[in-house]
Amino acid sequence: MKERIGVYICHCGGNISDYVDVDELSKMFQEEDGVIVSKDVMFTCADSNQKDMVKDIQDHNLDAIVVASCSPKLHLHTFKNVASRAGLNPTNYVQVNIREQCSWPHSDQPREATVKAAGLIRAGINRVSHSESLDNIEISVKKSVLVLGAGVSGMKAAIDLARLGNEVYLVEKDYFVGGRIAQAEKLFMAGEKGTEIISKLFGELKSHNNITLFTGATIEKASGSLGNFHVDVKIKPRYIRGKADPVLVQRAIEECSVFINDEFNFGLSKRKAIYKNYPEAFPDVPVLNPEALRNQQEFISKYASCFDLDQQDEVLSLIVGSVLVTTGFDSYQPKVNEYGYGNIANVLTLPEFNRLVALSPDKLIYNDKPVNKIAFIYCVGNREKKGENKYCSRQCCSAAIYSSLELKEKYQGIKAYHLYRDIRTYGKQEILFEKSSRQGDIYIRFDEKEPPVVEQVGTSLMVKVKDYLTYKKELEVQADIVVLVTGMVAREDSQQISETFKIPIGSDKFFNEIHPKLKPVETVIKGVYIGGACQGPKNISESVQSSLSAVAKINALLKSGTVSIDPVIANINNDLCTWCGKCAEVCEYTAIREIENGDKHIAAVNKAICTGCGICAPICPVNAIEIAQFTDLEIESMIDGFMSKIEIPEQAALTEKNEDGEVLKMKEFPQIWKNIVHSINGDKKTVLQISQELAVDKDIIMYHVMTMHKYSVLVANGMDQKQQYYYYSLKK
Amino acid sequence: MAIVNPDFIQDIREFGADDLSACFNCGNCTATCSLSDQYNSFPRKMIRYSILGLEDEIQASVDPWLCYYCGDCSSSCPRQADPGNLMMAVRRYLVASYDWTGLSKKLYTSKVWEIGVIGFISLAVLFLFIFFHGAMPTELTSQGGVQLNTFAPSRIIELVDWSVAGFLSFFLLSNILNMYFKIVRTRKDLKIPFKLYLTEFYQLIVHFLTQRNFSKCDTEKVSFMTKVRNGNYTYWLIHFLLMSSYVILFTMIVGFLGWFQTDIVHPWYFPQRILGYYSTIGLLIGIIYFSALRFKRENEKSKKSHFTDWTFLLLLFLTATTGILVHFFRVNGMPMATYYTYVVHLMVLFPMLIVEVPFSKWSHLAYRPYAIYFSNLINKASELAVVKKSKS
Amino acid sequence: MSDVVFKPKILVFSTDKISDPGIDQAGLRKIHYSPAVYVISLPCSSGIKPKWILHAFEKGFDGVFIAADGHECSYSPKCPEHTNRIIEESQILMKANNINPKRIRMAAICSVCAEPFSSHMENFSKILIGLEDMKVETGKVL
Repeated sequence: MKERIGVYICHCGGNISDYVDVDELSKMFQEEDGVIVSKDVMFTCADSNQKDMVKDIQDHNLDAIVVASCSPKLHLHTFKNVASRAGLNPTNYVQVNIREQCSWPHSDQPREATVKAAGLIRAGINRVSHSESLDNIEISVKKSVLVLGAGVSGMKAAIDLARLGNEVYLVEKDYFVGGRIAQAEKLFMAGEKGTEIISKLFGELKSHNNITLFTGATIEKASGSLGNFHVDVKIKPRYIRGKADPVLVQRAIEECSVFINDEFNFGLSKRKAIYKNYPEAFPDVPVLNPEALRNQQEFISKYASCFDLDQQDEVLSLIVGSVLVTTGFDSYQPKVNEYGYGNIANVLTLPEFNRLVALSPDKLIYNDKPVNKIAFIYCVGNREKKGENKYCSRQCCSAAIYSSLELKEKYQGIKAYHLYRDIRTYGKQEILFEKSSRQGDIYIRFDEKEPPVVEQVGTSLMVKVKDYLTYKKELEVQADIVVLVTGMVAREDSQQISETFKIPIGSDKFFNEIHPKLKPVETVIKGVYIGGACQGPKNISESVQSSLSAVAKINALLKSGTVSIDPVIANINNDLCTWCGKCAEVCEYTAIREIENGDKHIAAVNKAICTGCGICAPICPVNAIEIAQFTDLEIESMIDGFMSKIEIPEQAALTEKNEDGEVLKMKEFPQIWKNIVHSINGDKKTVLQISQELAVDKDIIMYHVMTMHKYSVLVANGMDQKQQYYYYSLKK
Repeated sequence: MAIVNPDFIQDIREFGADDLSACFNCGNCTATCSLSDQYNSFPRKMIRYSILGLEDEIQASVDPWLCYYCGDCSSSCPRQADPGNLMMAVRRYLVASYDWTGLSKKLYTSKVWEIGVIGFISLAVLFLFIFFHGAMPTELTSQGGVQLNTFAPSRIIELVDWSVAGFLSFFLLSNILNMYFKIVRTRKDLKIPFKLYLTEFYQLIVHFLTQRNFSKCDTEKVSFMTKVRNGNYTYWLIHFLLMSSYVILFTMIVGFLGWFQTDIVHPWYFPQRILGYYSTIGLLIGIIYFSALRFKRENEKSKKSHFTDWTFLLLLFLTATTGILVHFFRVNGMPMATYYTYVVHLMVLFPMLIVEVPFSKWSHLAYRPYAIYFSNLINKASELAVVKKSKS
Repeated sequence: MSDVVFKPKILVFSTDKISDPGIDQAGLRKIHYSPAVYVISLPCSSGIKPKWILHAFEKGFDGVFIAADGHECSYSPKCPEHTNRIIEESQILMKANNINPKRIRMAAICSVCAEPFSSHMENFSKILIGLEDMKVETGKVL
């Protein structure tokens, strides 16, 4: 029990004191048991008050403080730091929100607001009186990072992590690095080649000794926690000998007569059974498909010095301090007969179409027929009101429009139709839409309820669509190719990755960050970060931005070699626990395990992994689990505090309603305001003059003068000769 | 079902349309248009039809005729797609599409054709005079006037006039019939009671004579006198002056040449002279006013001029000035000058009539009132249909 | 002031990262709701113990409202299931203690759900006022 408590109630200028009688409250709590200091303050967050608080804590030997002011989202850390500076454990401080959750929403009922504020503050006092001093948990961490996925985000992240001095293991599932951008011939906006970017990044990767790249590699299993993750990486063989003569390998490729489906080009072409995705692909070692060459014994034995069909999967164990997941996305694969896909030959997805364009240098010919008219259908597999993918993939509009612009430059006589639902070429990409629209691409808008219908008519395609821009008129669009502008979906294997690293998955099936605005690359698993499009649809720059912000977070985390984490974790009451295993079952993070304790088995919490979410607490049949800072005692004492009888003299409550806060209604100004008013006294003075006269730091005077100006206590009255400071005088 | 035709946008550009591809379908143009209503919503619809190339739909529309090109749409367009100008281009396109001979399209889309046809008719007139002109007496009448009817007997010219009038009426009326089929008869869903054709006919006359829909473009909320002072009615007034002058002259020349073209020098108060003076002054004021607007390009409606707009003004100007000169020379007893000017006068007059009346800009004099008539027919008939449906 | 209108006292459990910012937002925008609403913020709604809820009713709260994260919860995709389970368990406890199970409610409140929160409060207050047994039990004047 804390019995020397300090209570600070904030006026917040008038934001609180206009509606809540803070004056009366501070007097009331002076009488409270255990409260040593109770004050009402104009601005609790002001530097001057922070100094006063530190002084109070030290002078009165306070063991806990309660600050009743604004939402903890704003100043929690401010007052935690005040406590620390005064030598008080920050866990012995409680913030009470009497602005956002009291004075503002109840500005229509000042008396009730005052009563509520009293209840809230009393709850805060009760809570802090049961608070315990807790120290942050310190964990030592390894300065190495596993980066999962060597697409553009992963490569860029690996390079920068390495540059910052971390050991990096870059794991790529494919045999070649680069990911999706390798398949894009040109990238909006500037039109760089995807493959050139990859070559550049690969060059940088190789120049860092502390990056180890694994291709054809997947994560077999992962365990451990922040600072010490144990990861098993499985590497598939290429079936090419490590020391094979590249010239001979090249000759073997030329001689190879077995062709297989070219997955890199979505089956639009065939490739040899010894292949690279594209000629400049990295690493510069081809891959052999043993299934396809099974019957080619002669060929295999001829090049026995190059090939080794006995190569086996290899598993490596790594220990890393942190994990960055940049596994990217899958392109939505249309269902059979969705807009005729799969049934009608000339219906392609945008990625497939882009490959077709990349493979057709001069003339665009598909299925032996020249292609002139192209109809793009947007939002395929995205923004489904009733379907699974409710989100917008946001980069596909730009990608499709950029493709249509590029087509017109590359080939002659191309006509493009865009059948869209909404165009979302946000940011600079709006220029693409502008250009496409002005050069005469035809935009037709349909509604999800009445999607276009693709039909084969003779040798060409007919798309029937109800155009919402033309009074829902039924139009027929003749096209040689229909391109389905497909959105992004979570990778097929993301479920598995989520299970391996315990990363939560959102309803959109992408990985979930903690907070989309404030913790955008952190996951609830400490030490596991996400970057790029595995988190949700992003374009290339956004992907790289997010992976690089994850790099910054990871580096900050690993830099010192130790990590300090919040003490809000689950605590097991060893006396009560009899190990039923229910808590371990519900824990999403496998933070709870069974241990032996004397003669019985009990649960133990891994402090490094526990997030303090509290899911395990209510499930315990014997109530043996409590979350630090949210103990039964603390919560129940808060409830008692809310309901305790509060006596406030009726006449003391403020009854004026003042929604706008135009006029400051203070019983009295804080002392420094009085001093400032006294100093000016009918004259006009600059901040500098007042500061010298009162012998107070000029920044503090500046802060108060500005606030007094805001609340119309002072008015500006011209500038001094050097035009540096305003004169202030009292408002009449 | 309508098939999208991406090539049409190029066609409509030849009729004078602008950057309509810039349109992003916000609909500001239609919202700001004071003539667009529940029945006829424009100009956005026309832009959309043009972009999609829905020619049947465009040809079945009356909307371009209902527009008086105040320019509000163009000045409020956030993309500078100039919808007002598009309405004018579509109007030209419609004139061409009503004309079953195909000549109109050639005249509108090719300067060579326009100049060629005008030149051809001029030369034809010239040759006719060279070979068939009458005597060129230099002695004057007792009143001191020139014996113009000896050089070009009004009886003969009148015959030519009447045949030309017959020719023009044939083409114009057949084009109007074509228009009727395209606009009214394509509405298979509507039954238009015969009575409506009769009761709505007065609208045609009213709108032909007054162009009163101009006033609907004016949405300023100020008093009538202020508007007069601010010149809100100037455009309408001068347009009316030009139109009435043209109609009067046309009627006198083509219908009553024997009465109009005499060798007698009438006193000034004779109707021939008063009407003649009124019309020539009206024409000149109109031509100068509209040319000045087109030169200055200050108003939205005069910013863009198609070459056929200029040829019409030019032919009209030449016709009017040579007509005045003929009159001046005749009354003042200058025989040779009278004869030559007369030839030049007819060399501009005939191409002006033949090219402009059924095939080009002049035809809007006929198409617009008819369009209003047709649109009223359709609107009233659909109202009746709705009433009938709700009753049953 | 002769304020005789019965304002049911409601205890709200909110979550630090999502629903509590939503409730703050209502204040920020001066959207009014009953001043008899008190909020306790926790990391996750799955961590509420039924025992606390029972304690609140015993101490005189008229209703308990759980402002959950729903599927937005960053801790567990099963958060709604867990929270539902907690409510079911609480209702069993409440029945055993002669408390109308309708006096507990749950809704997902997002981080900008200011209006939904205030309308939930209004509706819940109305429901609580309407409960027959409440009138008898509390003997409060309407």
